[in-house]
Amino acid sequence: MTRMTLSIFSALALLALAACGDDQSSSTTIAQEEKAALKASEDPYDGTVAKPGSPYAISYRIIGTPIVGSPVTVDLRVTSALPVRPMTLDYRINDATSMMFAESQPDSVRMELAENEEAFQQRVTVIPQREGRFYLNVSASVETEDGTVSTGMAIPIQVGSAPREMQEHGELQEDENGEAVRVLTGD
Amino acid sequence: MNMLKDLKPGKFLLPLIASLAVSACSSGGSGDSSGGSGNRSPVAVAGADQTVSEFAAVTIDGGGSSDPDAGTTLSYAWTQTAGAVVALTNANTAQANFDAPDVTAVNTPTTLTFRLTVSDGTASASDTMNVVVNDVGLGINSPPVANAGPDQTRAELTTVNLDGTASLDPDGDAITHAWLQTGGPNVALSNATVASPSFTSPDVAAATPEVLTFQLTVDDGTDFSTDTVEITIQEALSAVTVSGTLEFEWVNPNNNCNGLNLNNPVLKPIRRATVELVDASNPTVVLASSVTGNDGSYSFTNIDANQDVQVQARAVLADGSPATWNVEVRDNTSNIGSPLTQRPIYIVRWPQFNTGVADNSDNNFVARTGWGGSSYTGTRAAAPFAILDSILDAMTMVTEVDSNAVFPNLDVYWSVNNTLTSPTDVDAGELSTTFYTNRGLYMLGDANVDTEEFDDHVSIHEWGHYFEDVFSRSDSFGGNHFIGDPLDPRVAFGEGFASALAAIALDNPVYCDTSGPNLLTSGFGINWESQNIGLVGWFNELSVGKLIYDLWDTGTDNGNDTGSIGFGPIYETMVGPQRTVGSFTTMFTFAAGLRPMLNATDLAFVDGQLNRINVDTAAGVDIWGDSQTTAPTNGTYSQGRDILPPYTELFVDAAPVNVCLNNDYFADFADGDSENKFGMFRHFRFTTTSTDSYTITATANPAPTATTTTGDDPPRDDSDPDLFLHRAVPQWWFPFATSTDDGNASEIFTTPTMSAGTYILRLQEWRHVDDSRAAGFPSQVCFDVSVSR
Repeated sequence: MTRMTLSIFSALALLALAACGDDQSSSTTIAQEEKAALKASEDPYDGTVAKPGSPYAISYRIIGTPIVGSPVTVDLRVTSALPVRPMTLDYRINDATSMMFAESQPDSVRMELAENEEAFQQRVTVIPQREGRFYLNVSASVETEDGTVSTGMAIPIQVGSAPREMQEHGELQEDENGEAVRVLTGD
Repeated sequence: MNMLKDLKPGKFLLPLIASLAVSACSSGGSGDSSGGSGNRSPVAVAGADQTVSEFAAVTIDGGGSSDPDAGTTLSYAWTQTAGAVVALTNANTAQANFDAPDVTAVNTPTTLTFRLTVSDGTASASDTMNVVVNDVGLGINSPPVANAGPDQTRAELTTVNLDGTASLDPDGDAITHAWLQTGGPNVALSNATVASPSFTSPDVAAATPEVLTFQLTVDDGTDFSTDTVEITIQEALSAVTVSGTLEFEWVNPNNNCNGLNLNNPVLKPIRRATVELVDASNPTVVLASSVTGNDGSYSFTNIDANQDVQVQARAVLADGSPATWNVEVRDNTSNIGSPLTQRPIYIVRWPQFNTGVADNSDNNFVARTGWGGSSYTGTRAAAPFAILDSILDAMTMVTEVDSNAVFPNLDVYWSVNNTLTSPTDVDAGELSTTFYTNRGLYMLGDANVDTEEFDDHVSIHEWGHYFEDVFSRSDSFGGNHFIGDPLDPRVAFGEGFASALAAIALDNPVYCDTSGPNLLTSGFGINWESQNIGLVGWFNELSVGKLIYDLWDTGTDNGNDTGSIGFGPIYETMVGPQRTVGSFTTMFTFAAGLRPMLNATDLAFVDGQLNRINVDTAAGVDIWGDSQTTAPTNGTYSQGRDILPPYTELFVDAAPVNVCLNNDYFADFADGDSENKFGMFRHFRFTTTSTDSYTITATANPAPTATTTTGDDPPRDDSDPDLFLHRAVPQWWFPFATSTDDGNASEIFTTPTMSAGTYILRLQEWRHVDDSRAAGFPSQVCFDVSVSR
């Protein structure tokens, strides 16, 4: 039973690949591919059973092909299931050797929606410093009378073809049966 | 509370391009914070943070608050949200007062947090401020606390260390130590006035241990206290018992689910986990293996004396022989290329020690969170055991009502690399969200984005999907879902049941989902008992979850929930009729399975709760929902149309039946994953009496006016129905046949050869599902649907 993918995810998988691929250079191209991808996945039975969603949906589009030293623009769009309130978007790059923000790029933006707007939209520019698969972490938060309601996501920026560098956690060893185990240190 | 109590009615976007977020949102709810047209919200100003001395008279001033609407009188409400509780006076005025509490050298400075809420009678606003209280040496002396250490068993003629280092003074005053032997053969202490003196144990006769008693007195110059410890001395052994307790650091969420209280972890026992004693010089050599008790205790007997060993715990729950359950936590981002079920299991290994020549029972260890105050700086050893502990709570809930329950293997995939992005690539640690599929539970762990190990409701929610998978049946096909969404009833039931299961297992209706990067403050919560979001009904996961939780809990919901049937009947329904029911698993099948099990009193109670979520019971409840005659509406959404009957019955070779469906979800929510949303499809059922191929026809009637979308080649904006055919074999949830998409307004679907039996047909209008549909396409389309042989 439980199967399926978040169908919109899979529907847009092709898109996401396109967004990170060598050929993606314009929104027109993406839009056409989006239609094809959506139609191709019209069968919704492909999934996974996921946790309840946060109150925000963050969408993104990467403009152009990320290459070392050249600014990469990421268009962000955030919608909220909460009543419209000012929203703060925070951007974070975990590894300063991988990417940096463009000089004029703030790492936090507070926004309000105009009356006729349905979504918060922002453009973020980062500059890859080397090849690899990196992440622009985006968090969206709103202050309510009960505290901060927030969510986040990691936007993958593929520079060249190098795979993601995994964070090492503990030590990979073998147990008495020769099976791999990840050993964490206790105290 | 940071609960989603005020979801707005609509306006969600179309995913831009590569979307992906946590979910496609939605949902309904109450009002706007401005309180209605014309009124503007007040502005709350709690004032600047303050630093004061203990016992000081403190005034907190919200006089800077204002309201943009002229002539408005504001009301004020101060509440304390964190720190040592103080008595607030004038809490309903702009300026509130309190006396700063006594602060000691140990806990200085102490931070108190206050929230000011101002209201103009229609709308409200809040702000918070902190008061930092410093110790200035005032207050009453607190006596010191003596701790003589744990009792010990040691061998004869060896050096024994007493341990008074855990003694303390709450005020931070310097303390002196004084040890005195009060029992047993006399021994000479190395220094009776230090925290940890030693002595040489006396020679004792075989099988005649001696007990030495020592009293420790600690003195801070004003007060003193004492504690005692017993040291049992026995003959040196060639084999010993090594025992102790394993614990892990658990982190609770902050109030209102505003992040995790990582700076104040609590210790919990590592329960029912595999524990091993290994050779310190070669840890692959396992000297002994066992399972921890419910109190985290473990014991290894007949272990060679005087050898260096280490204790390690595997992130595995595997009790019994054969195991009643087998849950393993693995790192999905290591050993890429090997099957997922062979990815590395987490092990926590503690420092080595010597087994000595006497039984020793104080080998106690802790798996830490790795939190360094503002970020993770150490190994996150607690995480795998935190996840297992939550799952154990859920499994225990089941075994309490079914002692014979056997749980098929479950693998949990967690990694510090598991980040929230899309599309999912498990090997790369890229997960679209935390999810369950195919006896695997995939959990986020990236501290910069989202971690799940201490979100116990999330862990058990996903385990609930596993429960449905292996103990019961779920016909849910998943998809994005946000609380309050109008969903396919299959999805709504599965999600609502899973969340209710978590609330029941944890005896807590508040679902917290904390997230990063500000792990101390970020997250959101849902109260499954008290919140109503969206249209209430069998298609809303919150309604379903609320119902099932209310059937179990003993709370009264202000007189609306006055009974409880416990978990037993819920379990029996899920593993019984729900598992084999001949239609999609929904609220209707659950209710139809449960109701016959109940006595009259419980039946009346259950029907009352079903009525609360708009499930009709006057004519009973059947698996198809034929008894449902009212379609809920709440005046905010339009999803109330085109949802009844839940299944339209078709008859072979009979005249077509005209039914309608709509994309009201898009109209109200304008975003995201629509295929699992209510109104976007219609379900039919029909029964065949002979083995044959059948023709199913769906023709738009009236046919919608074709629209044109620029860029479509060929144009495809006329009606485009799609048909999906379901049956029990191989399984209900996955269609065994689908119509060939031809893009025409009339779909003629010749089925494969079908044996006699009952079938479910699902109809959807692709133009409604398609994110790139033309704006002018009608929101409601009707079809003539027929089955012929």
